[in-house]
Amino acid sequence: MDANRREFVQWLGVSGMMAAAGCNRSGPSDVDLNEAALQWHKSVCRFCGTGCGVRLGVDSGRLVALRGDPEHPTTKGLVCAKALFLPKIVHSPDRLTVPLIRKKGELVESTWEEAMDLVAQKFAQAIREQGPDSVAYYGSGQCLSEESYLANRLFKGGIGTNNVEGNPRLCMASAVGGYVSTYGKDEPMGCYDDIEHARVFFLIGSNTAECHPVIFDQILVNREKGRKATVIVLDPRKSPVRDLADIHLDPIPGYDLPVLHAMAHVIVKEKLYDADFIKDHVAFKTVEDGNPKAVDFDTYVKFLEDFSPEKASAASGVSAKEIVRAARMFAEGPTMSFWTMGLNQRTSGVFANNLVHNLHLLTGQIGKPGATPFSLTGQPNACGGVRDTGSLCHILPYGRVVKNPEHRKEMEQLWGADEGKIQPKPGLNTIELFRALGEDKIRCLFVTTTNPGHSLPNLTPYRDAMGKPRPNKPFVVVADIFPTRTTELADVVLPAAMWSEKEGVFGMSERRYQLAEKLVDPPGKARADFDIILDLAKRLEQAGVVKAGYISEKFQTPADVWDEMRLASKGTPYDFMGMTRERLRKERGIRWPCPTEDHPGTARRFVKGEDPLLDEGKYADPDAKPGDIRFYAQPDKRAVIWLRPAKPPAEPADDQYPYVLSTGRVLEHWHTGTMTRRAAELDRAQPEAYVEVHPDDAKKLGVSNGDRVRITSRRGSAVIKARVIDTPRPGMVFVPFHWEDTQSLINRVTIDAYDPGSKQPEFKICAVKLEKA
Amino acid sequence: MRWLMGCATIAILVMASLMAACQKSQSANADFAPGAFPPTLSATEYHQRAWSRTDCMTCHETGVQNAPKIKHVSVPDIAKSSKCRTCHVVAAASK
Repeated sequence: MDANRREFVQWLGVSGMMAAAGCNRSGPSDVDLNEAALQWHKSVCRFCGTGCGVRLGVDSGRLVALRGDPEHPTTKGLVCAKALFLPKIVHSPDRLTVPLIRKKGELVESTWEEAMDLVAQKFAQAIREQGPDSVAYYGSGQCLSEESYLANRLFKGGIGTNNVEGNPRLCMASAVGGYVSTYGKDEPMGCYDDIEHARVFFLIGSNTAECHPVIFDQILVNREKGRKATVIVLDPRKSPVRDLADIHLDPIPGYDLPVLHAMAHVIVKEKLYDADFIKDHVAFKTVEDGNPKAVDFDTYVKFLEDFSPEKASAASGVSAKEIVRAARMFAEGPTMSFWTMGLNQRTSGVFANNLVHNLHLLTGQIGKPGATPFSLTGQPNACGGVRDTGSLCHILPYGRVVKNPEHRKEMEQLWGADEGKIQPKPGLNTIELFRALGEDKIRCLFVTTTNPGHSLPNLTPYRDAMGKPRPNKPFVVVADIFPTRTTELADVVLPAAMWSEKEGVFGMSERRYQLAEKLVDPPGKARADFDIILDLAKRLEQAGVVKAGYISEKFQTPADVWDEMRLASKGTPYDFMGMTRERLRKERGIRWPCPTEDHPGTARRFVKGEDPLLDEGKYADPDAKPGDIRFYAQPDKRAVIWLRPAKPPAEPADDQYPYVLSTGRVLEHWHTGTMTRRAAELDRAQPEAYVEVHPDDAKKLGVSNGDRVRITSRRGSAVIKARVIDTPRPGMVFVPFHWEDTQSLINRVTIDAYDPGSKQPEFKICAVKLEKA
Repeated sequence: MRWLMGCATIAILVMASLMAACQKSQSANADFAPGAFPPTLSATEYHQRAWSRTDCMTCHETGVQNAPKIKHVSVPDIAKSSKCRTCHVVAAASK
């Protein structure tokens, strides 16, 4: 009888599993899409900065399928799971469809007319009564380029405030600081083609397998079918990229700078550097009394004496032998480095970026096929939309800065702004902006396409700043596609059109600008951000706080704005005059520089024979031979090897808070999860937050798999389910930040200390204590 | 017999809820092209470790160990060198 019972229960289990499995058995693996029945359109994915080319299947006005585009020149048909589920996300029933206005504490449905009237009236009143710097814009690396450019133009040249920020400050600012301080201008000089040519990959602070899966797949193709490249991983956590690593250097979090210097030490000591390249193309600099000071190679060599592999090992916990192996492997090349938030989200983020560039410059591993330092981007348009259009508080479009009077003048003339309208002082960076909001110094804030009520570090005071009821509370407007932890704090919520429901350009990590066309209508009364900003601009013109006609008489469509953007780029190192709208509609993206309509775009910047700016114009060098490199964005045409101190993190572990918390992502979700949690399959795959705890630490804490753990820092706490696993180093815990329930909001714990150069906060390292909840 | 009746009732309820969930899932996908979404992977150890595993098709082409045979129709060749996890999420909440 017992046997029968067991068999019956087993049958139940098997049947249940089969039934459940049956639900999932059909798919593109064994069901061919009836391609002929659908209209297919080329587009680009709207998740990470890889910029995968996609084809969108449309039927009866609905987006019904997405596939990788095999004709895309660099991603070649690859896409990840997040992209494949985009049709579900676009058509989610949770979409915001009508404007909402807070009345008596509740968000209630309204009309566009009432909502925009209120927004314009509040902004105009603040500008009149407390000046232009009492208002601010907080945008996103997910806005289309034309949207960011238009908002930047409105606030800096129309209203007259540099309080223009965006979430790329949280993810990319240190990479920008690294490129600008080393090469003179922002953005990578290499491209994805280099993946095929590399013999060594150096992955630093990048969980490429989960955060940039298509890049990782291309590395796999190289490794298994191509050049059989070797892989060095520098990361305190054993993320899935470690499966690929020939060498894994796992420093104590925050102590990787000594490792990078030590690799340079080995390269110098063993004479693995490229002396000719250094002689012709490199300058050495340090900082004295706050100013850059030129030094020579010998000074650099002496500086590196403090960073022998043994000393770096003592500081970082990484084996000295492995550092030596990694340095030798790096110098062999061709070497392609990839990094993301592990380097950028640090109080020494710019320095860490500089040290990676140092290795490439020292060995001449740059500007050749397969040899390039390449910062990967987390958002689809942080590069093209925010960095390039100058939509941060200190910059202007296409490499210009607000501090430079010539640059301000150029933009005022192009924009038709009054002379002196663009302010010479940078506006408030993201953290200072939200602090000022909490102090009621910012009176009106316009937030679009981002979720600072979830994503800011040391979250609690900034959530209070946006939403805590108080007399004279600042006015907060949020435009988004879904309800979020930010819309719940807003005074006005504007329903926005999503990708594929509006037209505009994304500029991804390899300088490729790609057009995403409008294919379906937005739900309900949702409108494109472009139209919302245009509407606000017209109303502010009518209110007399922006010059009449400044925007309303110039632009009707995103294509109008694009033409002005091309003009703004002309003659700069970003020149994309040749990228007409017609070309972008036909072609699968074009990489700048692209100065003329007959130019195919540039694979590698600064390289004679590839970069057209070395052939004609003010950067031209007729003496250079094909293949020669010219760092023309620097006045002396030399890239800089910086002698940077190896600073510790802002808040290392101590007796009171003995663990280091690091945050990050999983493959199935993206950023604050507002989109990916709307696709049931992605949600089921990773339904809740977890904290990775090393087994040694779990034993000390008496924590088992599935126990709830309270993670407490000097700023706040979160209670999250434990996953006991040896991926983090002992003494380190890791939490993905995608989930929005209050107990899982790990940014209540993280630190808002930021890099003094890039102003990017140190999400990756703060001290915490753990206890079983 | 009573336990058998009880178990049968539970079985019916379990199957009914599974079918309902299945129908709900199919209904949720009915508004999209057939085969629009990649099937989820069962939570086997192989699948969970499929970060660098490019040989998934060894089992899924031959059907060894009852692995479902996969055609990967309309999938570009380059994707056949990728890790499975790029497109397919694991059904269960584990990695």
